[in-house]
Formats: sequence, structure tokens, C-alpha cells
Amino acid sequence: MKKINKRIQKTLIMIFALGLASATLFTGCAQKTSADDGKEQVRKVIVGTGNGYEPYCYLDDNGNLAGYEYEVLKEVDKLLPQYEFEYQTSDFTNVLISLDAGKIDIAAHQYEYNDERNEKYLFGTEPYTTYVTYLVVPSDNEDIKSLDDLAGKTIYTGGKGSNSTYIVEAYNEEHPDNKINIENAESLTSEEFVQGLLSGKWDAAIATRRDAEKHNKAYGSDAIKIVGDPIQTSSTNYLFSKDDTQLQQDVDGAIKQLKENGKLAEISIAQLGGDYTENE
Amino acid sequence: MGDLFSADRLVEEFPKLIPYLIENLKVLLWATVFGVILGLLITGVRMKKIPILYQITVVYISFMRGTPMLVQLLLIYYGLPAFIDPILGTNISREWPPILFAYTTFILNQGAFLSSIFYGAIKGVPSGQFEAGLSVGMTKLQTFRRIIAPMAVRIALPPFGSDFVGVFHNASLVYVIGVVDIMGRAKSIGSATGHVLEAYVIVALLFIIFSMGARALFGFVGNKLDYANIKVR
Amino acid sequence: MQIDVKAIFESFVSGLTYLPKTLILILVPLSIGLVVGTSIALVRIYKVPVLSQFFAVFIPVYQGVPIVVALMVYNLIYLMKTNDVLKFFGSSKTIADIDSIYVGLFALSLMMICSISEVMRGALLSINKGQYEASYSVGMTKPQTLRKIILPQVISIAIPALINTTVGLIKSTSIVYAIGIAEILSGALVPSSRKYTFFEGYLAAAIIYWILTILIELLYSYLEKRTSIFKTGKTENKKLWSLKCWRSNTSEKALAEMKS
Repeated sequence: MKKINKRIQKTLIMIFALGLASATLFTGCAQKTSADDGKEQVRKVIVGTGNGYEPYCYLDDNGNLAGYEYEVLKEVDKLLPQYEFEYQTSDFTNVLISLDAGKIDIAAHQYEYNDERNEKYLFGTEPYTTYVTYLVVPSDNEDIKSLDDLAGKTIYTGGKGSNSTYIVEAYNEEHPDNKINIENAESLTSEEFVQGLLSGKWDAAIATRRDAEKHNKAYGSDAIKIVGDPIQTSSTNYLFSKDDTQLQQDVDGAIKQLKENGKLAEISIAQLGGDYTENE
Repeated sequence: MGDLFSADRLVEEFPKLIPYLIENLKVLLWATVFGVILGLLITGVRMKKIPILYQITVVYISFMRGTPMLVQLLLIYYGLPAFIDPILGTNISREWPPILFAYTTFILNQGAFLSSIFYGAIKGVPSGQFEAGLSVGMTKLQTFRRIIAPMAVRIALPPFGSDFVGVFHNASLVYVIGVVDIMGRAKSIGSATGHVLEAYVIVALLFIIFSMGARALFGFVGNKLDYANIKVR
Repeated sequence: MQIDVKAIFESFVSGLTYLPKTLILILVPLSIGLVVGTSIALVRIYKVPVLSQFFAVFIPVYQGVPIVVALMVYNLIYLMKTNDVLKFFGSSKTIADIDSIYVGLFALSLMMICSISEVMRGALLSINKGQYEASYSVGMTKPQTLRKIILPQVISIAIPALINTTVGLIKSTSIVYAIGIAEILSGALVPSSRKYTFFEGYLAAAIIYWILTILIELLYSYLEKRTSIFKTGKTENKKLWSLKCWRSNTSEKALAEMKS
């Protein structure tokens, strides 16, 4: 019994070692190709983005990444020969963890500025989309105009890591006896979004004007509307790791160029149906 | 819009989804092949009660059994490189695509679950069988190979089959780390078209077919292997 | 990657405050599963016409659907159709009155009904026919036999497999997070969504689930000792049978027992 166990063990260890070796080989190969490209070292930059936020980042009919984020970054990549972009998609919330973990270099998922994000990550300084969020309610609702009207009610704020969640969490902390229930879910379809509001599942949601219009269009009627003053007027930037200032500056420069030559506005019109690059 | 379910979309999305089932099957294959190897190694450690290693396997199995697959996937996807990269000087954090982390998680998880099955199966062979083997003049090795192992395989097969189906079900979670498997594709179709129910129904159908097929196959093989004649109903 | 230990602690505490929700998500499906699942097992053992055929098809088919897929489908139907259904029944309530936790409870209960019915059926089958015959021969009726002789043995036999089903359930409760039900995992991620410490949140959630599983196993092993007076001589069958379970049922406990 001992003998056979040893023999089995030996074989197993060998197989396992082989498996490990092939895995290392695989990664080794990947390293080599990226180092051999051109005279000047081309740095491989991994872009993290989502796969469920149409029209910004989603998978097209063939399952390939498509949308505004991808189109803009493709142009940025063209302007920066010293970098080579690769794309990795995941759930919205997990994109930022990937940045923490150093799995990606750029997080691109319509990130708005907030202090906590700024403390942890490096924001690009050249915004590439305006992002003005409003309360969204069913069209026949006349009671809800601001967050103050939502005490004890329920609001849908997108994924866990969204800026809207952050804002309402902060609101709840400031108004401990006026708390709003937050509901999160990743990448809802237009169907679910509109129906969630119409059915009264949520009393309100937070979205941009263009997202609300998108949902109405998909739903086929003006079922929902935006109300009141903007929850937040901001614009979106890429996020980088804290120490990656070189990449940040280069990408900022490229975005600036794309703004000046009108390319960014062009992409915005093509992908988002309007120029949302400077102001709304 | 407004219609929740349409047969047209069901038919239309079917061919779009099917190819992505391969990703789940790949996870299943890796988890099974390397999970069996890892499971056998752990079983060896447990049989021989190798000090330190034995204690490690106890904690390891308890963790794998006690925490959700969803969380394990995320912890390994983000946490494993933090251990491996500094030690081996590699950079798997960036160079491994998400699916390799899915494989790793499932192999580690399966190693724990399968070692329990193997260990239980070997211990489940009545000790009289071993003694009987020795008494007719077989060596220990012969007894293990000819008497114990075949019976243990027979005992381990049904739980192995259930486990196999269970792994396949769990493989529907790999989308959380960004693997575009059938579930990830179903979700992305949902966000692109605004309708998602049909895609989920297709996924459910495919899983039902596969699960029932796998169960039937394991049942068939189990009956064929019934030479040990242990009646387990 | 830097791990913020303080954030793990915060997430741990925040996750724990949602423990009651998770306990509901465990206890309700478990109770429903035990009652309905055992009934279904009896229906199939006694071959009640129509019903037994129905369950013989339904249970294996339903067990083919991963819980996450089932959950997504139910959630979608819940979002889209609850109001229509309520209106149909003349209720003045709307979806806002029906928390989405019910969707989670529904999905998990169905899952538990299926797996417990299989566990119970296996346990019932493993009981020697002689036990029934002996009871009838001393003049017991069918229900009496069931209640006084068969079920006590069945419960004792089924416990290892039930532990595993319950452990599987605990882990499955984390999946309801995907449809926005506040439970341990989403609780652990509340501090994370303010400070962007999601990895720490997942880690904290893992620790809570781990502790919960270990506690449940301790509880069951206590129960097992209490019920062991009912054990029959047929332990060999029981040991082998408890191995033959679903993935979540691959029992450490059952296996440990096989050693004895």
C-alpha cells in the first residue's frame, strides 16, 4: 500500500508540476511578445471597463466590447504610440477593485469625482463626458422633487460602487432621521429600470437625463421623467493608480487633443446621440 | 416593449448563447481533472496524517466548504496574486485572464470537496476486505489495487457524479470576475437589447439538459461498476 | 494591493448587523423544505398517483437549474408582474409592500424542497421493510407506523445529509445579493461602497459565512447525538447512503462518521 501510494503520489506530483510549468510558460510567452515590440518599449496598458452599461460599455451582437468608452479609448490609444491598450470587462463594482489590485491601469466606466475616490485613486484632469444626475420618477408623480422628499422611501442607485450610492449614503449619514432606503443592483435592463419605478418597487432612481431618455425610448413611451435640480453636476474622468502620473498625463493630453480636433464630440454624437463632452 | 417574453427572441438568441457554454464546460473540465489530482493528494495527506500538512488540509477543507463560491472567486481573483506574485516573481495579476483565475478557484474548491469523497470512500470499504485480501496471500499493494480501490471507486462514484453536476452549476458564477460565460453573455444581451428573460430561460434549459444527461451517465456507469455488489439505494 | 485591516473590521461589523436577514433566509427555506420536502418524499415512497409521477419529473428537472439563474428569472417576473397579479386578486397592495426578500425566500425554498425531498426519500428507502412489517404485525396503523417507527429513524439517518444541505443553503443565501436583497454580503459591502474597500468587504463576508457554517455544524452534531438513540443496526447502509448526495451534501460529518 505504501509503495503504490508513493508511486501514485510521484505521478501526481509530476502531473501537477507539468501543469504549473505550462502555466508559467504561458505567462512567460506573453511577457516576451510585449517586450519585443518595436525599439522603444511599448507599455501594455490594461483598461478595465464594464460590460453592462449601454451605450457606454457593453458587448455587441458578437460578444465584443463596444460603446463610447471603448471608442474614445481606441482613439486615445492611436495618439499614444508608447502604449498598447488591452481591455478587460467586469461588473461595475469590481472594476475599481481591479484597479486596487493592479490588474488594470485605467478604470473607464463613467466615473464621477468624489472625495473618497480621489483619496484612493488618481483622477484624470481632462473630463471626457459631462455627467449630470437627476432624480428619476414615474411621469405621473408630482410629490417627489428632491432627496428630502424621499425620507423612508426607496431609491435605486445603480451598482454598489456608484457615485449615486455614495451620494445617498452620505445624505443618510447627514440626515440620520430622514434616511432613504438604498437598493443596489448591477446592470439592470431598461425593462427592469422602468418597471421598477412604474410598479412602485422604488419610489425614485438616480440617472442622467440621457439615460432616462434611453430607458423611455427602449420602453416605448414617456413612462419616466427627471425632476428637480441636479443631484450632482459633474463630469466623468478616467481613474488611475495613485502613482501612475505619467499615464494620467499622457491620457489627459490625448483627450485634450481629441477635444480640440472635434473627434471626441464626433464619437459622443455617434455613440450617445448628442455631444455630451463639454456641457449639456 | 412591455412584453416580458417572446418566442422570437428565444429562437433568435439561442445560437448566440450556445457557444458561450464552452466557457462553463472548460471550467468544469479543469476543475474535474486537476481537482481529482489535488483531491487525491489531500486524501494521501489525510490517510497518512502527515503532521502540519494534515492540519492545513483540515482548515483548508473547512474554508472551502464554509464560504460561498461567489466570494471564493472574488477572493482568489484579487487575493491570489498578492501571495503568488511576490514569492514567485511572476505577474499573474495582470497576465492571467480572468478565466485562469476561475479555473484556479474551481480546482482549489474541487480539491477540497473531492478529497472528502475519496477519503470517505476508502474508509467506507469494510476493513474485513483488507484482511481477507491479505489472508489469501496478496501483498498490501495487491490488496489495495485489486480489492480496496475498485470498491472505493464504486462507493465514490455517486457522490462524484452529484459533485460534478454541482460544479457545473457553480460555474454559472464565473461571470462575476468578468469571464464572459453563458451567464455573462445572457446578461450582456439583456443590457444591449433591454430584454433578458429569454436569455435566462435558454441558460436554464441548457443547464437542465446537461445536468440530467450527466446524472444519467453517472447512473449508467455506476450500474456497470456494480461488481462489488454493494447495494446503495 | 494593500489590505486595510480596519476596513475588514468595519465590514465585518456591518455584515453582522444583517445577520438576522440571512437567518431568515436560512430558517424559512429550511423549515419549508423540511415539511414540504418530507411530504413529497412520502408521496413518492407511497406512490400516490399523479403526484408521485409529477414530482419524479419535476424534481430532477428543477435541480438542473442553477440557483443564480432561477433567482434572476424570479426577480424579473417579480419586478414585471407583481402589480398585475395583485390587481388580479383584487388586492390594493403594490409591489412596494412586497419586499424583494420574498423572491429570495421563494427561490431558496424551492431549492430546499427539492434537495430535502431527495434526502428524505433516500433515508426512507434505506429503512428495512421489516420495520414496517413488524409494526403492522403488532397492530399499528400506517400513520402510527410512520410517526412512531419510521420517521424517528429517518431523521436520525438523514441528519448528516441535512447538515450538508443546510451548509449549501447558507452559501446560497449570498447569491440573493445579486438581486439587491440586503443580507450579510451586501451588508459587508456597505462600508465598502463609501470607502471603496470592496476586497476587504468580501473578505469580511467570507469570515462571517465561515463562522456561521461551523456553528451550524456544531449544532447539528449536537442534534445528532441527541437522536442517536434511534439509530438502527443498519449503519452500514446509512453511511454509504449519506455519501450518495448532492454536491452540497458531500458531508465531512457523514464521512467522518464512516471511520467509526
